[in-house]
Amino acid sequence: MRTPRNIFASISAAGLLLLTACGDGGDEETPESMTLWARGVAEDQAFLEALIEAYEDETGIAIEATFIPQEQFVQNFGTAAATGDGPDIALVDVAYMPYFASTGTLDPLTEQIQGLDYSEELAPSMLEAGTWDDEVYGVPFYLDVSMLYWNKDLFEEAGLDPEAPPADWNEFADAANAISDLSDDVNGFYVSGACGGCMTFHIFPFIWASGGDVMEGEDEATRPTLDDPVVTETYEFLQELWDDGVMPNGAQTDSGTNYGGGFGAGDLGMTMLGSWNISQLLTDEVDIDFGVAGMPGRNGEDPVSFIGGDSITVPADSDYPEAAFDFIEWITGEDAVEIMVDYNVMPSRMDLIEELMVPIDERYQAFADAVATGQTPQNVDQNAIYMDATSPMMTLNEAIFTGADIEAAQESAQTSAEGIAGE
Amino acid sequence: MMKRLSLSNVSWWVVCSALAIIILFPIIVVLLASFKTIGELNTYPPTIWPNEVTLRNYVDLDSTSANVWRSAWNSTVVTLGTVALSLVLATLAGYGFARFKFRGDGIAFLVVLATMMMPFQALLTPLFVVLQSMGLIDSLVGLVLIYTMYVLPFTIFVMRNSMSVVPQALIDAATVDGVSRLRILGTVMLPLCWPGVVSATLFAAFMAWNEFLGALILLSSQENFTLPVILTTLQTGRYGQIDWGILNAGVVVTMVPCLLLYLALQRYYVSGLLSGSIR
Amino acid sequence: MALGAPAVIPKPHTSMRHPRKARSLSRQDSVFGLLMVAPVLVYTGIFFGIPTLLMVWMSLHDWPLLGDPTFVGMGNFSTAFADPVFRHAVVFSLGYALVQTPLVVALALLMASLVRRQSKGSALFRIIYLMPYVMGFGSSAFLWYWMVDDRTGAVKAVLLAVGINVNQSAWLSEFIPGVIVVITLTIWKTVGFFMLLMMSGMQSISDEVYEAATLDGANKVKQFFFITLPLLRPTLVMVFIFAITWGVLVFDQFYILTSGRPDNRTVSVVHWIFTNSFVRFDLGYGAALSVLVVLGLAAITYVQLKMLRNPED
Repeated sequence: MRTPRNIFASISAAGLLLLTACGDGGDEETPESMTLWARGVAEDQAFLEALIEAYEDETGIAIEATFIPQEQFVQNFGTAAATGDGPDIALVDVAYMPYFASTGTLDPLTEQIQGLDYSEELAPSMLEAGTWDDEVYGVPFYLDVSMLYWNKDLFEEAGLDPEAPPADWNEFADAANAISDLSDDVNGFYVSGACGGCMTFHIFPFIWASGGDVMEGEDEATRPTLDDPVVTETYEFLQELWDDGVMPNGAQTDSGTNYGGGFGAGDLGMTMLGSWNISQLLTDEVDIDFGVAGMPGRNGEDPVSFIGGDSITVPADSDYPEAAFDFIEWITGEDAVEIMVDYNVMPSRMDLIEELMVPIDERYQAFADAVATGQTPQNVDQNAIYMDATSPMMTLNEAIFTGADIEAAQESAQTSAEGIAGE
Repeated sequence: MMKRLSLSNVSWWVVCSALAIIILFPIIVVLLASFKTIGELNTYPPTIWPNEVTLRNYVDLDSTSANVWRSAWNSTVVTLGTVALSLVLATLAGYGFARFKFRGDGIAFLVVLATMMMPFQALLTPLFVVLQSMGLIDSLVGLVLIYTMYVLPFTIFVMRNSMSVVPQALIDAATVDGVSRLRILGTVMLPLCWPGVVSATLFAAFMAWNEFLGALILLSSQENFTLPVILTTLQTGRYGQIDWGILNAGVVVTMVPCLLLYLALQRYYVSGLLSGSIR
Repeated sequence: MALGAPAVIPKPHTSMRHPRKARSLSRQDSVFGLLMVAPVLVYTGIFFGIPTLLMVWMSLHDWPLLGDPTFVGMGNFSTAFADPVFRHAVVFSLGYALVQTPLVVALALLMASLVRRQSKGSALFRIIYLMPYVMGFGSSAFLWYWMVDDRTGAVKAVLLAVGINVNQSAWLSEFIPGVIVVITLTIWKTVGFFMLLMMSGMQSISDEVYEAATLDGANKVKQFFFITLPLLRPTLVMVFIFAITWGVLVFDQFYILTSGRPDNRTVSVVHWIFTNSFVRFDLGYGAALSVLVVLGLAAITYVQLKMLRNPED
């Protein structure tokens, strides 16, 4: 993999020639309003409404936001983009950035991003996931960073050091078992076993930190590696945890409806959650003492978090590409980030996470550290191979619960993943 | 003899009632559950009768991230649109097929019926492309057009059948009075064929209200979702626990209009089903 | 193109015949008749004819959601024949239809015999038995999704009340339990419709036949097997064709309840078309699978008609 920090170095070398050719600036009129599409539901994204309001107050440009459910976003945005009915600005789940970047749906933003003072502070793995053939198509906007959350009260009850999260997988398994043994109502660990997106978020950090990966190569040449030996170890480890009864029965069938396994209710020792969840846990209704740390590798290697979230993009058929980038610049700027922080949404700016979020709660420090070293998968077939209910990775995930032979499950998953990648 | 008869009568009632209870059970429990508090819905062991009755689940249907009332409105629009369009088309065609002879009428009728042999599910992929080219993806109008195609053969069949049994003498009398053919349709045929119209309406309405796969594919923004599709977003809330109260209330809102319509008009519904399927 | 709903499968020899058309044959009449039918013919051309041709055309292409289609000839079809999930989906959908159909037909037959007589009670039960049929498969599936939930569902409440405490948490993740839940749901929802069909078939058998049989000393059971069943044959043919077709085309229930779990073993043919066309955006491949499904179903229906055809026909 490319080192993220070097993206701009390599791009500037290759891209300088294009600099003049691409600058078609100057003649665009200032719009009265622009359209913006985002995934999810408005209620989850109240911060976005607040941002849009602030932007209109400041510039007089109205942004009309349309929210599209996650499952339908790709189809809807793709169809609209293909027929020229797309928005002026789109927030794209970084998981789909490679797909849209590779299909010419988006405008390249390489030079404009380079022109930002803080381009080096943007979450590097996300920037890279939005890069295709040396052009950058999306500006990281907000992040969802996966972390190991542990319940300090339960650690203490189980005779573990509440201030010391597991340093390797052995300690992890011991802690999970010790907590599960406390009582029938308490469990050591939890995953949303029937939720493809959740499982990538839960499991990839185990694999990455231990030196493995689920795909290799980049851009067109990306191919799945579900047969990686580290993947074997990871799944065998999770299977063992399940067999030990560390996870509640519901984990197997949870299609995301019980994401987090009720960690906030205090019945769960450890779980992998995102940065979104910390704000929920900080509310008054939740009465547990918890810690946040990266998930270490098998033998105690440094954690590698999953960096997910949305990139902000300019569709190729945007009516106002320049004004759209002005908006992007504003929304990743300090004023906007302050609003996001008010809503406990993690910005893509590493400097501002440090500056604005850590003072709110010191646990944000772990996230700030994780962003620089974390990974974001880059694969045009990410949904079909790793996330959809019928994807090869989901069939592999089931092996955790069914006791199936992991290597055999990997082999068949790898075969069908290669089939999808080869299409 | 009397005794044996009444004994078998008792056992008949017992068997039939038992079946009725089994069949009604899901409908009743979800109705009850939709009035339970969220706390009660999440307690273990689960209850059947609500300890405390609340309307909160229904009140919250529009304040949740997935606006169920909005979807109910969409479903209503799609249903009315499908009923209206299919009835107009089917009435005209039923009239033409039942009362007039023209070159190729047999083949035309056969073609209309043959469309029923094609599974709707198989056509969705090309229909997606057709609607895409018309700019009607994620549009309730597009959905109405597809649903109308889906119900047309059945509705035409019902209309043709009910129109073909109207006595010719009535039509002749009107013709002698100088009434035009089109007016005969309105003044003679339709007043006599309204049971057929009711059957066709019910069939189209139930189909449009309940259809899932096509709506799942052809609609993509939440504000356009019909009821069956919005339920999927209730099933997979993005973060946080599933809200069974809202899901159950959503199910009730989806099923109750159908049940009421059916109970009110079941005679026509049944005769329509039978005439469509058996004739 | 119904089949997701009670479609009309006309009995070949009666329904194709024109109803008694007593009408003049004037030229004006024939123009008028054509005018009446024309909108439907145009409509059918646009929303049925074009998509059908397009389905075949798309099946010969690599047809992405974004970008231009490229011609691949029979490539999609050879992929399909080698596609393990599709092959399994075909076997699964057929198997599901074959298990489900006799169960629902037998139950419907029983219920039809129970409520066929004319009485207030029968009428009431008929209304009740048909109630689930007017609900959609989508909302019914969500209702059952909650009913079988291990912690909060009504099935749990009932089982606990009678002293049975089983772990239901994997019902929708394991093959046999998941399929049983879906079959139960499907029977619950459709049995009333099939009951209705059979009942009306039974009512067309004249009472005199039974009276004669009673005089000959045939008991009820004998009457059922030697009179009712044979005379019900045309209805049964139709019921079987409906049930098998619906079974093969199953989607909503499995999509909502099991989502293909475990290990894509409950992925039905339609689910796989859906996935390829609208999750992977490989619309050409989805169209190719659709072509195969249409051909397969046509063959199955043909075989059924042959097998169940009345010998005298």
